[in-house]
Amino acid sequence: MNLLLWTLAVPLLTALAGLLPLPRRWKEIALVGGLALTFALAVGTASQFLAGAVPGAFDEALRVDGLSALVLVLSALVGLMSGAYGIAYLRRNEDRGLLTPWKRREFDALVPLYVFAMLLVSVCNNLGILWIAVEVTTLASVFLVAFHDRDTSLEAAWKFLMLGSLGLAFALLGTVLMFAAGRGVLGEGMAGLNVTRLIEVAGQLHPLTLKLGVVFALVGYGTKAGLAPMHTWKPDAYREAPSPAGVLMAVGMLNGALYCLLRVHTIANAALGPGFSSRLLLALGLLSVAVATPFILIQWNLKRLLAYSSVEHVGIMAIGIGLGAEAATFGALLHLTYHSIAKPLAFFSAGTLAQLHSSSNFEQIGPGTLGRTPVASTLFVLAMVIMTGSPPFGMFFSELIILRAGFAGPHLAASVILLGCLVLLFCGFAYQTGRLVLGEQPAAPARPVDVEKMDFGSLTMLLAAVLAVGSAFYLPPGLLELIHAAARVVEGGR
Amino acid sequence: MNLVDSFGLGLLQAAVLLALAPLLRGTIKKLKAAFQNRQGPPLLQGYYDLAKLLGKEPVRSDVSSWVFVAGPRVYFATAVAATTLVPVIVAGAPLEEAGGILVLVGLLALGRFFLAAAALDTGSPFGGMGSSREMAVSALAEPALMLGLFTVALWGGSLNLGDLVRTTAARGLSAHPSDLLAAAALFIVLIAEAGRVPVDNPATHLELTMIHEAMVLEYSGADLALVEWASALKELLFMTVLVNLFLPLGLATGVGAAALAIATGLYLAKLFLLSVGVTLVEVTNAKLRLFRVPELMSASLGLAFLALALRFL
Amino acid sequence: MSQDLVVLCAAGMLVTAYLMVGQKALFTAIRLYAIQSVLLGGVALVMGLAGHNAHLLASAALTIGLKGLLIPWFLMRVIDRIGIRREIEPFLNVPSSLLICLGLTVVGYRVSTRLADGAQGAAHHVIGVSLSMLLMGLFLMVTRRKAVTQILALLTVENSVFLVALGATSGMPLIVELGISFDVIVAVLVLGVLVHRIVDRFDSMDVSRLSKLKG
Repeated sequence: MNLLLWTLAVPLLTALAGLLPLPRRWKEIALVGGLALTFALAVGTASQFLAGAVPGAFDEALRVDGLSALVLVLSALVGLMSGAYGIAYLRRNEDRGLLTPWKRREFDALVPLYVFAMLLVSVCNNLGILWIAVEVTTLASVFLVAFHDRDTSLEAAWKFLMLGSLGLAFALLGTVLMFAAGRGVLGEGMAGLNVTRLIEVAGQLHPLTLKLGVVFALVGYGTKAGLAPMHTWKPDAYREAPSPAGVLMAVGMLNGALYCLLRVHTIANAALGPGFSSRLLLALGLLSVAVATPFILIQWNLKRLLAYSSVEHVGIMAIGIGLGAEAATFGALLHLTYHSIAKPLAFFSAGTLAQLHSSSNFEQIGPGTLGRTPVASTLFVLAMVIMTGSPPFGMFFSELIILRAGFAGPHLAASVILLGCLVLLFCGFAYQTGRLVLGEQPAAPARPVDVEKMDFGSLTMLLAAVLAVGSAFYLPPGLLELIHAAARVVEGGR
Repeated sequence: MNLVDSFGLGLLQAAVLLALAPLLRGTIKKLKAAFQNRQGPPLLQGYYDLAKLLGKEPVRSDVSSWVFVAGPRVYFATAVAATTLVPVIVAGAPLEEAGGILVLVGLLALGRFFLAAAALDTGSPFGGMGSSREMAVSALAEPALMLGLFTVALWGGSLNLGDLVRTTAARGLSAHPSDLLAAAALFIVLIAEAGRVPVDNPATHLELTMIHEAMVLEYSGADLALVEWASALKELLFMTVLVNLFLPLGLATGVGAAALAIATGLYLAKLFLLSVGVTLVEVTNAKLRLFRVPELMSASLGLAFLALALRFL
Repeated sequence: MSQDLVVLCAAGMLVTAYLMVGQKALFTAIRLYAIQSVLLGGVALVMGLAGHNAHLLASAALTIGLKGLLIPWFLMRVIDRIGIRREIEPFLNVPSSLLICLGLTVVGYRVSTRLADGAQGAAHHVIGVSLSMLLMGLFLMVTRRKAVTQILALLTVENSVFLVALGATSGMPLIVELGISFDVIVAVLVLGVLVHRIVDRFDSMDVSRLSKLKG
C-alpha cells in the first residue's frame, strides 16, 4: 500500500477504534494519535508530490496534484486540531454530566470518519467517487449536528440533511450530465468520469450537455460549500454542532466543496472557454458576501456569526476564482489556506465562551466577557481581527491580492461591491465583538458562569492562536509551493 | 356490410355484452373476496339477483312523475346503444358509421342525465344528494374521458373507434408516453364511473359516502334490475374500450372461426387482467373522503391533459 | 421492442410522480414510490437485456431490491412505528399543484431536446420524463410539510437523476453506481432515524414546526 492509501486508511481505522468500549484515556489517545498520524501521512503525501511524484491509486481514480495536496494537508491539519479540541470539549461536558458513553463513542467514531471523507474528497480525481465522498461527509456530519439532541439541533440536522441531499442530488445530476457529455469520446467506463481525461478531451465534449452539467454541479456543490442562496443550512448547523465538529464543517466541508467546485470549474474552463463557470462563481460569490453582511450586522448568536463569516469567506474565494485572473486565483487559494488555519481559533475560542456560559446567544453571554473569561475573550478578539482581514495577518494580503486583480480586470463593479461589503463586514464584526467582550459586567449573570480553567482545551486554543498568528509571518515554503501548484492546476487544469 | 347486417351484428354484440356484464361484476367480487381471504358470493350471483329483481313488481312513489319511470329505461337503452359503437373482438364496431368517441361519450352522458334527473324526481334527500355528487364527479371525469380518448384519436387520425383500433392494431404496441398517461387517466375514470373504491364503494349503503347507490335508492323490482344491469354493462364497456384501444393485440381482422376464437380468448384474458388491476386498487386503497374525490378526478384530468400535451413535445 | 418497453417504463414513472402530487395519503405515496423504483429498475433491466450489458442488469437488481422493496418497507415501518397515518397536508391544493406540474413537464421536455441525444427516439422520452420528474420532485419538496413526504420527494429527485443516467448514457460505471446506491440507503436510514427523533420530540412529523432557527 502506498502512502496515499495509508493516509486514508488511518482515519478510517481510528473511526473503528472510536467504536470500541475502551476506557476514556485510551480512547482519547487513539483519537488524537490517529489524527496526528493522519496529518503526518498527509504531509508525507504532499511532500511526495513536491518531490515530483504524482501519488495515485485505483487507476487514477485517486490522484494527488497540487490542488489535492494543498486541500489534503489543510484538511488533515484541521482534523487534528478538531480532534484535540474535541477531547477537551468532551471532558468539559462530562464534568457537567452532559455526556453518556454512547455519545462519546458516537463522537469518537464520527469525527475520524468525517476526516476520512474529507481527505478522500481532496484526493479524488474521479467525479463519481468525488460525489460519493462528499455524500459521506454529509452523512457523517448529520449526527454531529444533532449531537446535543435538543429541539433546535434536530431542526438543524433536518435542514442540513435535506438541503445537503438536495444539493447532492443536483451535483449527481451534474456529474451524470458531464459523464454523458464525454460519452462519445471516453466511452462508458470509469474513464468517462476521470477529471484528467475529461480535461484532455475537453474540445470534443458535447457543449450543451456539459453546460447543463456544469451548472447543476456548481449549484449542487455550491450548496455544500454554503454559497448564497443555498447557504441557509449553515447558520443552523454551525450553531447546533459541537464546536469541534463545527470547525470540521467550517473548514473541512468548505474546503472539500470548494475543491469540487474547482474541479468542475477547470473542466468547464477547458471545454467551454474561460467565461462560463467563472461568471456563475462570481455571481454566487458576490451574492454570498452581500447576503452575509446584513446578517452579521444584526446577529444575535455567536456561532451563527461564525457561520455567516464562513459564508462570507467562501464567497470571497468564489469571487477570487470567478474573476478569472491568475493572480486572483492565487489569492483565492491563499485565502483558503489562511482561512483554514485561522478558523479553528475562532471556533475554539467562541466554543469555549459558549461552553462556559452554557449558551451561544449574545444575550446569555455578554457583555463584558473580558472580565470573566480573559483568555478565551482575548483569543476571540484576536480571531475576529484575523478573520476580518486586518493587517498584518494573512487574510489581509489574500483579500488585497483578489481586490487588486479585480480592479485591474474587467469586473470593476464586482470589485467595488466586494470592497464595500468587506468594509461593512469589518464594522459589523467590530461592533459584535465589542458588545460581547467589552462593557460592564452584569451584577448578577442570568446563569452561573463557569470559571475558566487552563485545561487541554485552552492549550489547543493557544496552539491554534500560535498557528493563526504565526502563519501571517511565516508560511512554510513547502506550503507556499503547494499553493502555487494548486493555482497552476486551477488555471491550466493539470 | 349493409345496414341490416350491421344492425343485426350490433344487436348480437349488445346481447353478448349484456349477458357477460353480470359475470364481470361477479368476477371482480370473487377476486376481491379471494384477496381478502373470504369465500365471496357465487360467480353467478349477479344473474340470480337480476332474475329475482326482474320478477318483482317495481314500487314507485306517488309523487314521482314520468321521469322516474323513464330514468332506468333511458339509462339502460343508452348503455346498450353505446356498446354497438365499440370494437370488442373484431377490429371494427358493428355500428361504427353511426358515430365515434363523441357519440359514445354523449350517449353515456344522456343516460347519466336521466338517471340523475330521475333521482331528483322523487324529492327524497338521498336522491338529490346522490345526483349532485354524481354530477360533481362526472363534471371532472367526463372531460378526462374525452381528453384521454382524444389523445388516442390524435394518433390514429380519426374519432371513430373502429378506425382507431384498426390503426393501432396495425402499428403494434404503442410506445409513446402519452398513451400510458392517457391509459392511466382513463383507468381512473373507469374507477369513478364504475363506482369503485376509492371513489365510491359499491358494497355499502352508507349515506355519508355513497354516490351511485344514493341515486338509485328509490328504485325497486324491475326498475332496479335495469339500473344494475346497465351499470354493469357500462363498466364492461369502459373496460373494453380501455383494453382494446391501448392493447389492441389479437383483434380479429377476418371472420375465420379460428381468428375469432383466438380474439375472444385474448379479449377475455385482457378483461380478466384489467379486473385484477381494478381489484388490486380496490383492496389496497381506502375509500376517499368525498371532498377528496374531485382531487383524484382532477389528477385524472391532468394526466389526460398531459397526455395530449406530450403528443406535441 | 426494447425501446418501446423503455419508454413505457419511463412513462410509468412519470405517471407515478404525477399521482404522488395528485393524492394525499401517505401510504399510497410510499407505494407509488415503490412502483416508480421498480419501473426504474425495469428501464435498466430492459436496456441491459437489449444491450447484453451485465452491469446494467446488476444495477437493475440493485434498484428493484433496494429502492423498490427495502426503502419503501423501511419508510412504512417508520410511519407504522410513529403511528401517524394522517394525510399529507400540502401548502398548495391539489388541482393547482397538478397544473404547475403540467407546466413543469412541458419545461422538462423542452430542455431535454437540447441535450446530446435528447432530441429523438427513446432517449428523448426518457430524458424528458426524467427532467420533468426532477422538477416535480423539487416542487413536492417545497410544498409538502410532512417529514416522510419530503424524504419521498428527495427520493423522487434521486430516481429522476438515475433515469437521466440511463437515458443520457447507458448507466454510470458499476462501482460508482454501487457507491451511490449505498449512500442513498444510508441517507434514508439517517433520515428515518431523524424522523423518529423529531416525532419523539415534537409529537408530529410536520416539518413546518421546525422553525425556531431564524436569522
